[in-house]
Amino acid sequence: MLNRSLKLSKRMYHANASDFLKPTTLGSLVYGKDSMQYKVLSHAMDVSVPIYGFNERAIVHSLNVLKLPSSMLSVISSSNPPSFLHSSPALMELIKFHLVDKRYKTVAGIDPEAADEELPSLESLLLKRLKLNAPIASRLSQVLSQLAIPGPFLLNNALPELHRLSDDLLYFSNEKDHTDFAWYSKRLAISCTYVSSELFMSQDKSADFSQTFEFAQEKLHRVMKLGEYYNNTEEFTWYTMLSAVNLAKSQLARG
Amino acid sequence: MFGKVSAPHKLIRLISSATHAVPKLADVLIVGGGPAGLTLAAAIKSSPKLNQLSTVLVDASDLKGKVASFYNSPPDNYTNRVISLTPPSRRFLEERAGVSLMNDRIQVYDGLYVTEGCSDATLDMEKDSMACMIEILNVQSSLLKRLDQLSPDPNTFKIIDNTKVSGIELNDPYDAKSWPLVTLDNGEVYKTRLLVGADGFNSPVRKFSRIPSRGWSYNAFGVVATMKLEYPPYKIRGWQRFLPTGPIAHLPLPGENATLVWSCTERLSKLLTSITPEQFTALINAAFVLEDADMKFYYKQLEDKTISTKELSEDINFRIEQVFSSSEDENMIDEKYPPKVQGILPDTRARFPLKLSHADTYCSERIALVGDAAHTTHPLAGQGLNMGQGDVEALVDALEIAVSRGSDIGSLLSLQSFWADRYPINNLLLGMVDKLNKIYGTDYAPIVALRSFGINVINNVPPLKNLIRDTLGESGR
Repeated sequence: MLNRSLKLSKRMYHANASDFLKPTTLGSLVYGKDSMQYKVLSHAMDVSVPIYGFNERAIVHSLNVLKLPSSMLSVISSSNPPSFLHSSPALMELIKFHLVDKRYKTVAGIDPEAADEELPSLESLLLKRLKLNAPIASRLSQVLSQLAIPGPFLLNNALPELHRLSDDLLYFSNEKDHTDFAWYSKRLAISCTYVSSELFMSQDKSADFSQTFEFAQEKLHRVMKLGEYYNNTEEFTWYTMLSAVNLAKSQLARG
Repeated sequence: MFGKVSAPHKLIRLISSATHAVPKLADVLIVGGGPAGLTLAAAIKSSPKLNQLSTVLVDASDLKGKVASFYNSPPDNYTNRVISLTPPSRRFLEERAGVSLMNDRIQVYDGLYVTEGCSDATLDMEKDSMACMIEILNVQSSLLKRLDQLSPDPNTFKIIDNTKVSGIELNDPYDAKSWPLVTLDNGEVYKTRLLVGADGFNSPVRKFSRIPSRGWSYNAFGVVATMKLEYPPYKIRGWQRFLPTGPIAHLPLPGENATLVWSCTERLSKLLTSITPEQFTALINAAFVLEDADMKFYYKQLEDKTISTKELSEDINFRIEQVFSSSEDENMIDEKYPPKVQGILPDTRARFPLKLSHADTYCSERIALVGDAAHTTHPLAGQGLNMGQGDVEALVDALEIAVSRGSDIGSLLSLQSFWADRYPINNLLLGMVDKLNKIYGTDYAPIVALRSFGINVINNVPPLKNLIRDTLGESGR
C-alpha cells in the first residue's frame, strides 16, 4: 500500500522531463528488455515453466541452461519482499513478469492513434491475450492461486496489473471509451471476463482451448450488454424514484 | 403617446385574427374519439350536473360513418381489436354513461388459467364473470349510439370527425391560466375552458401541456389475431402462457371464436406476421402445449424456410399428441390446455409495439389527460382500457364537484382531485404488470425455479390468489 501511495506522490504538477523519456523499464518491472533478468525470466516462461510449472525450480533450470550462476536467483527476487504466504520472492517475480510481459505482447505493434477501423476489436485482443496463455495453460491454476492470496502482492501487483490489462485492451481496441461512470463499469466488466475466462482455461481440456475462447466470447458479449443492463437499472431506479415523488405530490394536491 | 404606439399593434392583431376563423367557445374540448374520449363525452352528456356544458369531440377517424355503422350492421366475423372490460368499467359505461353495449358480441369469462413455458407452475384464477371480452369497435359504436339517442342540443354537443388538431396555443401566451386556442385542420378554431387529451400515446395535448411522461419501451411487439376454434370451449376462461419470448394469451369470444394476443420479440413478431395463416395456426396450438426448446426449433426452421407447412403441422400434431398421451388423466387435457385452434380469420393479424409510460401528472391549468395519453402498459393483464375508464370516471366526479360548487371546471384546483384519485391506482397497476413481465421474461434457471415456487405458493394460498385476481378483475378499484 505504502508503495502505491509513494508512486502517486511522485507524479509532478509541472511537466517533467522524465515523463517524456522512453522508459528503460518494462511497466511495473524494475528492468527493461535488455536486462539479464528479462533474459532469464523469459527463458523460464518459454522453456522451463511448461516442464516444471510455476516454482523456483523452473528459474533454476533456466539459469543452468543459460550457464548463469544460481546466485542470480537472489538478483531476480530482489524487488519483492519475502512473504509468509507465498513460496518465494523469485517465484513472485516470475509471476509478475508473466503478467507484465504478456500484457505488452498482447498490444505489441498496435498504434493506438490509428483510425478506428484499423484497430483490432476488443474481442480479438482479449482472445489474443488468452492465446498467449496456451503454452502454460496446464500451469495456470498455480498462477491463479498465487494471485488470489490476499496480501500486499495482490494489492500492489495482481490487481493493478489486471486493471492495466483491461485498460490496455480498451485503449488499443476500437471499443468506444467513456468519460463518465461507465469508464469504471466497462473496465470492471472486462476484468471480470478475463479472470473468469482464465479460470475456465485452467480447467479446459478441449482441443486448442476452443471452449475457452467460446466461453470468453460469450461472456464478453454478455458483459458488454451489461452496459444495457446498467442503463436499464438506471432508467428503472429513476422512474421509480420520480413516481414515488409524483405519488406523494398527487396526494398532497388534494389539499 | 401610448395610444398612438399601440394602435398599429391592435390593427395587426385584428388582421391576423381575421385571417383565422373567429374562435368558437367550448366548455370541454375532447381530443380523441377512442373509448376514453367517447366515454367522457357520453358521461358528461348523461350527467344531470354536466349536460349543460358545451362539449366538442375531435377525432381524426371516420367516427360518424364507419365506426357508428358498426352498431346497426356489424360484420359476421369478429374484428381483431378486442379488449378485456372489467366489471367496474362495464358498470360505469352502462350506469353512468348510459350505454347499452351490443351484448351478443360480448363474451363474459370465468377466470384465467396461467401457465408458463419453462416449468409446470400453474395459476388457476377462477371467478365467475371475472371480466368480459369485447371489441373496441363495439364500445365505440355503442357510445356513439348513446350520444345519438341523447340527441343533445347541437349548440352544446358536437362531434367533429375526420379532422385533426393542427395547433394548440394559449389565448394569451403570457397567462398560463388563459384558455387554450385549438386550431383544427378544417379551419375552425375553438377556445376552450377545459382541454381533455384522450389522444393516445403520442398525445399532442400532453406535448402542449409540457407534462413529462416517463417509462421505457419493452422492445417487444404484440401480435393479435382473431381465431376460429375447432369446437366451443369446455370452460369459458382466458388462457395465458408465459413463454421466455413473452406471454401468449388466448381469450374467448362468443361461440367458436377467440382472440389472440401474443407478445414477443420484434424478430419473432415479424416472423409471426409473415408466415402463412396455416403455419401461424399450428404455432399457436404448439405454443400452449409444447416446450420452449420445441418452439425455438420451429422458429428456426420457419426463419430458414427449411420446413413445409405440412411437415410443420404434422410434427406439431405429433408432439402435442405425445404430450397429451403422457398425461395421466385424459379429462385434465381440457382443463389444462385451451381448445384447439382451427384457423385464423384472414387479415386479422397485426402487430404493435409495447411500452410503459406514465405522465408525471394528469392535469395542469385547463388541461386533463386520460387513457393512453397519461399511461400505457403491457397488454398481459388486460388493464389498458380499464385504466382509461377509471380515469374518465374520476374526471367526471371531479367535474361534477366543481360544477356543483360553482368553480371553474378548467382550474387546476378542480382537476387535482382527479389526478389524486387515479395516480396511485395506475402506478400500482403499471408496476404490477411491469414486474410480472420482467419476472417472466427470463429462462434463467434460478429465477424460473423461484417464480415457479412463488406461483405454486400463490396458487395454493387462496387469500393471496383472490387478492391478485380481484385487483386485476376490478382494475384496482
